[in-house]
Amino acid sequence: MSLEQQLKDLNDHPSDGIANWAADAYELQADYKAGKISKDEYAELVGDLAHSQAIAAAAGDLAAKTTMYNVIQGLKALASLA
Amino acid sequence: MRKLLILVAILALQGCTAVGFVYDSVRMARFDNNEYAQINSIRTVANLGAAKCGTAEVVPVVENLYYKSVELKNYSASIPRNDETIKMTSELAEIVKGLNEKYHDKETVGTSYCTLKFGTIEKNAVTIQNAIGAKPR
Repeated sequence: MSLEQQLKDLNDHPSDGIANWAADAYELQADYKAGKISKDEYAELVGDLAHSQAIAAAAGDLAAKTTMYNVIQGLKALASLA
Repeated sequence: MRKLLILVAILALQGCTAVGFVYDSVRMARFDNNEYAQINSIRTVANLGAAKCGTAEVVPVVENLYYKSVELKNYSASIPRNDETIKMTSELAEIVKGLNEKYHDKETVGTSYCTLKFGTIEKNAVTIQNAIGAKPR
């Protein structure tokens, strides 16, 4: 299966994060093939995809902790009402 | 008996992980006005700076963006129990560093590359802003 086809398949992934990442990667390799960006610019931008993925993962972890904190505060409030 | 001990050990480890997560959540770093203002500033500079790609005016914008991203990385790194934010701001600073290096190491920088970099920086700044904006008060 070609790289383009694999990226197109990932575009339909149920996870928004993965689908958006695949869309960005597809656009990037299309720009490189069209000669809009140089080889070293392309290499750096591919590296940025990994940085973006790491940011999305850390944001997800932070959101999970925030939700847990809010739930605990809610449970404490409920206990003080009883 | 051996299998049972392994099962008990696995369950105990999972329990520890869950307790650790709850403990970390209770003690997590709270919302910080300065942290939020700094990421908002990076987002805004990236948003407005993209229009300057392809002109000489973009160079001071890139330098400003790099300064701000390192400033935020250093600021968040000194806040205790702020692991996820430190990770995010460090990754963002790496993205901006690449852009800054291109403008200082190369004679010409492509407009498409510049536009894509500003877009990536803004998109990630929005992700970070949303995450730290929701931190508990």
